[in-house]
Amino acid sequence: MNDVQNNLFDRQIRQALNSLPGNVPAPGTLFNAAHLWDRLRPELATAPVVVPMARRRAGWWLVAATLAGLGWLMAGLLMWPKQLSTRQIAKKEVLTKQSTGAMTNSVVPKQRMPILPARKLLAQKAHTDHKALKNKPLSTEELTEPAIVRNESQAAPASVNNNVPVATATEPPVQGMAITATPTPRQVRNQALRRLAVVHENELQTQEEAISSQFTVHPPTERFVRLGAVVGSSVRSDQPAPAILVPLTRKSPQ
Amino acid sequence: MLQSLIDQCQRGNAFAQRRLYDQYVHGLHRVSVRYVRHEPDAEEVLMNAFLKIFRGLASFTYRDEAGVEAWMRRIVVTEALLHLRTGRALPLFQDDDRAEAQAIGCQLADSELNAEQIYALIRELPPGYRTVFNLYAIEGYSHREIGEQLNISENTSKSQLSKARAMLQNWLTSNGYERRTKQSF
Repeated sequence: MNDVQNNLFDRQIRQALNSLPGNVPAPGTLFNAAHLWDRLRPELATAPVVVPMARRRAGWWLVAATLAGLGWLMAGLLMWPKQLSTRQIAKKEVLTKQSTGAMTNSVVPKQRMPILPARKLLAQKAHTDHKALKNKPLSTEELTEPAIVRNESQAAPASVNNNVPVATATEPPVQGMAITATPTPRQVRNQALRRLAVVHENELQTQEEAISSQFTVHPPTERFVRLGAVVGSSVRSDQPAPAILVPLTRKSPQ
Repeated sequence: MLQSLIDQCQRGNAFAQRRLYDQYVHGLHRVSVRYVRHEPDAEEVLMNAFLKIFRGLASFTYRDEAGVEAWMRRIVVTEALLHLRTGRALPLFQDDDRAEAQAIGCQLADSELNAEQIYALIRELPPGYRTVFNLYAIEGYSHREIGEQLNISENTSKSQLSKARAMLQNWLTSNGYERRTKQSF
């Protein structure tokens, strides 16, 4: 039997065996596939799963990425209170600046103290200068309007106006004063005196200065033109008087 | 289809493992019984082989269906050889040398081959003959590889193979298969 015949015989046997159905148990055997699976399944459940190297590397990368993310998260959480505290401090600073700015700018419409001298002066003015005020009914607008506005002819300096708390238009009218009856100046004064408020000393001084500057009696300057030096400078004696004011009533001795 | 099944098995899906088992268990059982005649031992070999298959699926790279089947079959054969080596000493040498003398110049007609009969006859071969014949004629091993696997020499493997062939041919002719001479080719 030569090799060719042997190879042909082997090929025939191989083809015959390959033609056997793979999904049918061998005839003459007592093989039970379900029984073998029942034995195999617990072994598979307890058997460790072998992970290939590529998946192991991917798993390690995943673990590393997760740890890095957790690290960043922890760092962020650790840094968060500091940032919050700095923000809170900055916010507090802003709030204090705003409050101090409000105090310095005298934008204190809710404070009742700035109204007190204005009303007092208003009452005094109403009592002394304007007799018609007795007969005229007192309206709410006039009470809430500051006394500085009444003297519009005398413009106060800009710096003084910025500091004086005259912006009382937003202040709600006093309930006791919002009456349609005609109160006497004494009543207005009494009501104004009853009101108390705590005002900073600087503000009070500024208000008093502003009011005093507005109500001081200046010499009438209407219809006059000042050509020479200012009033303060004319006090000095070393400067000669302006020649234009010297009347030419007589001839000079020369 | 098979690839997705293997992917699911690689993820540890028990349902997919059962489906893969059902698909290949009978064919692999035939392979196991062809090497190990004793059925309980063949089942034990098959069970160990399936354990190795499911564990080895994690590192298995799918190419085609034939590759999957060949890989499983190779695992079963290896497990069967392990069982034959460790379980008992293989009686590789037979006293009967008449089989080779009678098989000279014999050949079978293709149309008359019955696969189940041939399968049954192979199982009736002596263990040494059957193992070498299975490894060489069916699995495609060389005599050197068979010698390494069974710890025998190449000449012994060749001798066992020729005796197995002669015995098979004699059985086949005795079972009514037509014997063709060299002139028929």
